[in-house]
Amino acid sequence: MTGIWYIVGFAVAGVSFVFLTIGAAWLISHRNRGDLHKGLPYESGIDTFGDTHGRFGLSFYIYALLFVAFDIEVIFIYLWAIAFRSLLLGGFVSMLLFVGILLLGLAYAWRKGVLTWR
Amino acid sequence: MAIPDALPFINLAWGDLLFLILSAVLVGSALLVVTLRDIIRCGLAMMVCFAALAGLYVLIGAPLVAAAQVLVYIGAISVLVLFAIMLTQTKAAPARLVFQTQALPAAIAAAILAFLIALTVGATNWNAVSAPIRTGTAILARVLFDQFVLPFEIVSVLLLAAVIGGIFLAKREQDGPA
Amino acid sequence: MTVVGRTWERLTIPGKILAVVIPLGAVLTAGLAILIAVIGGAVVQFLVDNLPLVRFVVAATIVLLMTVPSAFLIIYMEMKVIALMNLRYGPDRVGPFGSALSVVHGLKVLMKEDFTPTGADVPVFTLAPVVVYMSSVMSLLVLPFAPGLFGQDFNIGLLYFFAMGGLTVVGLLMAGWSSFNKYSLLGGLRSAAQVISYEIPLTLSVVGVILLAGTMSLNQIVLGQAGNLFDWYIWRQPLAFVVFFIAVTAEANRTPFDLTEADSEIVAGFATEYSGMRFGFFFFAEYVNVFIASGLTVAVFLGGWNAPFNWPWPVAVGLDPGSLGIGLLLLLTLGPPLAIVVLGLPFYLLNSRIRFWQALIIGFGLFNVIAVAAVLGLAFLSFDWVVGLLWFMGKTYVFVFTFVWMRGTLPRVRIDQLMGFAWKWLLPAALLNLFVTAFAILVLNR
Repeated sequence: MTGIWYIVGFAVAGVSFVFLTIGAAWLISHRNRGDLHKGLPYESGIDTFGDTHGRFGLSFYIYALLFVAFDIEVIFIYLWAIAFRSLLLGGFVSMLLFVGILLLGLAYAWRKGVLTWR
Repeated sequence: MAIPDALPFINLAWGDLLFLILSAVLVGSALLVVTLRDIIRCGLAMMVCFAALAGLYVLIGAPLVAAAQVLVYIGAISVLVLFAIMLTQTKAAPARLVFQTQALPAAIAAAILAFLIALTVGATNWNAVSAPIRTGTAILARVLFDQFVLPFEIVSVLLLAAVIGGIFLAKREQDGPA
Repeated sequence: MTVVGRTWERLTIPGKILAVVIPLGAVLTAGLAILIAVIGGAVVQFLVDNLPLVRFVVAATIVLLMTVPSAFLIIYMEMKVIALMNLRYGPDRVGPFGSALSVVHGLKVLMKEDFTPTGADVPVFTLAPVVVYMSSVMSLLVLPFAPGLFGQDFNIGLLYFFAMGGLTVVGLLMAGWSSFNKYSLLGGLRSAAQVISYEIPLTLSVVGVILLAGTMSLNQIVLGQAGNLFDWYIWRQPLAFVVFFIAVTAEANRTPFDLTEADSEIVAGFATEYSGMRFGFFFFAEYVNVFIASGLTVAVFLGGWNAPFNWPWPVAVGLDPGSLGIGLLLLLTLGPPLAIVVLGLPFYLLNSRIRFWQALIIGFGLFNVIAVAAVLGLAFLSFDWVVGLLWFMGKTYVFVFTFVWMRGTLPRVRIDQLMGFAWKWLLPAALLNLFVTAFAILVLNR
């Protein structure tokens, strides 16, 4: 039960540390509004061209998708790893099967050329 | 003089206070998810919601579930959602329309869900559990890999289906005329 | 003009400062003494009654404040070491060998204008560096520095570590999106894709260690490596170590995987629009990450605070001064003068410009330093946590040096090489290592 207090208290302390520092910097630093051009996005010195929040390649999305699948796998593998000494052969085979099935997904992605960045 | 075990005057245990705070954060951020207008902020509020839920899991004595919640739901699924939003959202698109078009189906789904929750609440014997049950992580693992091996393997098939389906759809989009 | 005013005029600047500071210090000391005398007992009683609370406050303060000097030290190391590798001088003006330059950098960032670009999503823009910094600092809570010296020992320590480390992605995406800049968005998405790709091999590579140790608690993992050099997990998990080190380099966004910043391609990635202290926290988090990555590598694979040989902990100082008898008197009277002359003599002999009395002064100073160091060293070596901390920090800074060395040596990889490498090589290697380890346990421990 002390663990949760540590995590919550630590998060509160850390966030307040960051905000105090940013606040102190805000107090001692100089500021001015500047003109219209000061607030423009920095794009190599020319004005913004086109839609800023435009669409980017789908490659990012597929990596995130694979990541979700393997992240869930990681949880199961960690759970399996701490109990492995009492599971032995049965645990070994079931995990081999589990990872094998998931690797089919990776193989499919590989075959489709998704893993190659374009 | 030690710090008292419970909050003075209202006699509220510290654990209960934490529970109240976390629940307030949970409900508040959940409300923000459905009311905020900027869809990225909705996604971020959803992460706060998940984080508060992870805190509640720790409070009921399931730290492993809490870690899984943070690792998978915040670190992976919400990131996937953010990616999806960032890849599809443009300032030119009428983002506001998305929020109101499906009011009737949403209302029906909400009503059904409320009914189910009410049923569950009514059927539960609330006096049964008075102290949090602490399940050791190792015990959990042994039970999972002894008695529930088949569901465990089915999870991998489910994940495989999700991966292949996602890649198939995304690839079709990429190769197609879009 | 009064006498006081004229005296004040004649003082030099250090004199003026001292004339203010000394009376002020005296008054404050007196006040503090009275305060301690009045409420000191109650305060001590309160602290003793609430030891868990005191432990939390001390732990949180130390861990949070420790990040600041660590980051300064690593920044200085990076400037100086890379400069020496490039046959440059590097920083050499502020402080001895320029060692105070990173502090000056920190103060400079603190005083810079903190500008928010038009079109930025202000709350998200402000929260992004907070999330990035917090996700690295929260991991420090479970890092075991020395026996009994850690924030908190969780049963699921490693899982907690990776869960918190994974939150960096959220901060990067927030920064990229809210800046309202194409470079930022592209940089944010890129670095997020990089971090999530390398997180899988990173988390899977330590499973071999978890299998061997039978626990996820970092403290227990370190305890499991007690003994000598060959009890460390690196010898039983060499492949895991290689995978882990590559993945952790990518997670910390260090060269050769620093595409996040890639100054020559996308300006500064997600941090393009950031300035002032909000930029400072990204910068800060990067160096804290280097420390954490090194610390985790040491804790998991290199025995943490364990010494590489059987260190006699705690060192017992079994010397009774009374047993020396008259020898003690002789030692106390003749020892120091002799040591002073012996220490000062080389300076007199080697440098003709130093006179004998100057050499004696040098000898006196050296003797004092050595004597104090010896007494303090003996006193501290008898605590196992001091020795543990020294070993841990020593090993950690070897890895920090390796990171800096890599930055000075290796070119940046291309993004297609980067992403393919994680999924096509590291992930299968980590899985192979996992199953080989499990198989070995299955065969050998039967």
